[in-house]
Amino acid sequence: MNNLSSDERNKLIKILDLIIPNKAKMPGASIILENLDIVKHLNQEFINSSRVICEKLEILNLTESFYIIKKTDFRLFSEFINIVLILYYSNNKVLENLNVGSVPPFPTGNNLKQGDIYLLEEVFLKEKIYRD
Amino acid sequence: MTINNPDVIIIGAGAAGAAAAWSLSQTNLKIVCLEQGGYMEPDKYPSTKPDWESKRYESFNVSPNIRRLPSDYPINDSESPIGIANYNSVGGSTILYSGHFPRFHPSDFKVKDLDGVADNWPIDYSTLEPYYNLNDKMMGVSGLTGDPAYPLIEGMFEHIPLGEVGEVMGKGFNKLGWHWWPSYSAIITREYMHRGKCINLGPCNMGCPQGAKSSVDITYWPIALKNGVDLRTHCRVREVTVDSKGEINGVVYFDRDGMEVRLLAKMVLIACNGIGTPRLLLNSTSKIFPDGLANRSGLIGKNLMLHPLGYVEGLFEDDINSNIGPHGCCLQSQEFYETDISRGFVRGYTMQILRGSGPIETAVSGVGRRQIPLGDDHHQAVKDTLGKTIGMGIIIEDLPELHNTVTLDPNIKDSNGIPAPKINYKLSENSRKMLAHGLAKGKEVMMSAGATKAMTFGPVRNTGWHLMGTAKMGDNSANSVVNKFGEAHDVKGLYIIDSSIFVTGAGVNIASTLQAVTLYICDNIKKRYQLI
Repeated sequence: MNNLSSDERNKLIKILDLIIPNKAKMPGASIILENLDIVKHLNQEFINSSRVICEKLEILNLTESFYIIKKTDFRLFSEFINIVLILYYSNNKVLENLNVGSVPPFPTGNNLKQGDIYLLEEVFLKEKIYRD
Repeated sequence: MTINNPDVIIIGAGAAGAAAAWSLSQTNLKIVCLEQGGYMEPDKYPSTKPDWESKRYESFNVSPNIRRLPSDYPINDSESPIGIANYNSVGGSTILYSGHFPRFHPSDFKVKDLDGVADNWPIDYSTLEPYYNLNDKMMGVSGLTGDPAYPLIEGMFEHIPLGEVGEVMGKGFNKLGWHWWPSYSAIITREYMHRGKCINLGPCNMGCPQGAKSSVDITYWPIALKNGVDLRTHCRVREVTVDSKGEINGVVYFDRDGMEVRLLAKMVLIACNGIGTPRLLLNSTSKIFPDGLANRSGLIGKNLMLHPLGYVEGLFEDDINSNIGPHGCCLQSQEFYETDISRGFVRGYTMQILRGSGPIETAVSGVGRRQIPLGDDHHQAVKDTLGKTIGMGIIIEDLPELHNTVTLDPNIKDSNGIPAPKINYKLSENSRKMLAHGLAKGKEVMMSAGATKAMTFGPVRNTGWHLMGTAKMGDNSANSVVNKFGEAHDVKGLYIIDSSIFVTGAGVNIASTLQAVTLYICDNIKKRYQLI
């Protein structure tokens, strides 16, 4: 976060929590600012996009000016949203609250229901459907 | 082991190169394999880390143009609705494939006779059957015997669990009276050789840290290396060379330090896939072959087939844990595989039932399609989607057409200064009709299975994994590049052993067939030179 000024950071907190608010035990998107290193390769990309976005935001009318960006520079807007979503859903606290685990469950793995193989009875009884 | 005077050079250490290296390593031949990528480190695969899904957007992206790793070369696919997908390493694209491993069908080798289109293969299913069986044994394949869509296939491990997804979809297919069957999967469900069984982690297509997915770096390569094959990594071949008589005499490659190296051999096997192989041959010009090596037919780079992919996604009310389990391997339907002219097109397609997406893909694609909002309702919408979606890939058979090509890009070069490939590809009318039919039928079965909503689109952009047809096999040298034993008509000792030699592409994933073809070619090399 060293590359972002306190003014940029304050703007970002408001905008990020507008995109994904703190609600129903799920943290707001500003949580990604706490640990950007988790997805290192997107860190700089996020900071670069954030700085461009912050330059275009008017402090007195933050929400409105953010959605003006959506209309005037959709590419910038959608790229920023994509990075925010990737960073947000890579965050441990978010994943824990989603009940999907923060990491794949080594060494036991996931329990996947074997499924009812007898559902195949009518398929098994079909005549061959391939051509010789 | 370093070999200075090899009998054979294999170019590429992916699905085909690995199978060839193992097969020929059973002889006394001295073999060098050159691979532009390096060895993978399974303990560092993304799915061992919290940010695993985000790697799909960069270093484990399927597109070399996005990954831009040192091992990658750029591919200009701007003139194609389908982006090219691959992976360059020891193991090649099997590192990222989903392990869906069906065979071609008997009819796939006779499309001219049966449907009056394209050409027949000069070999047939029965020729390849022993090599399919051998390859299954070497790779480790799971599935269920008794599928009415295939001749009898035996010797597989127990199929991947259906899970709730499989049950839901199986019932949906049954209601319509349509064919379905558990996937043929290059994923082992029992411990085998030195490998652990599948523990249903899910993201198989970002590398399997468990070693359950049968990527060739852990199947063929350990044995080939033990048998003495010299596998040189981070070595990119610039050209295959011939002497003044036009006979094969070796290759020129750049080593890991960028130094140009000349390696001599009287037999070269190319296994660089349907894009990399024509690129290499077109870059291998000489006085005798000014238009590219082995290109007297003019067919190098022509007839590119990519398997345009349609996608159907169903949203279900109940949580069916769809984000758990091997992503690409649940079940498949071949109800619409064989030709039925009343549908308005020839040939057919496979419906491949996938599991659901992880959190990032669910959110990114949901927001992109405006199905998941930002703001106050975001969390509820994600909760209503995650674990409740089922995906379906529609793999359609595109036919070989001369205007679908791989050429050399006049402007773009790789990090060694070698001209990059350029793709020109258009869907034919037959492909468009087939795709539309598949999407409609996919939606129909999703609704039959109880989906509350189903969306469809296609062709999906970055799904050009199956790269075929650009160095066609055939008996007639005017109408093909290699003969039925994989040897170039124009150059003795030059073999092409990957899916570029496919005459047609069928409507299924190709890894099983391309490896069976490789083993068949190598077996014939051994017989011809009395090596066995």
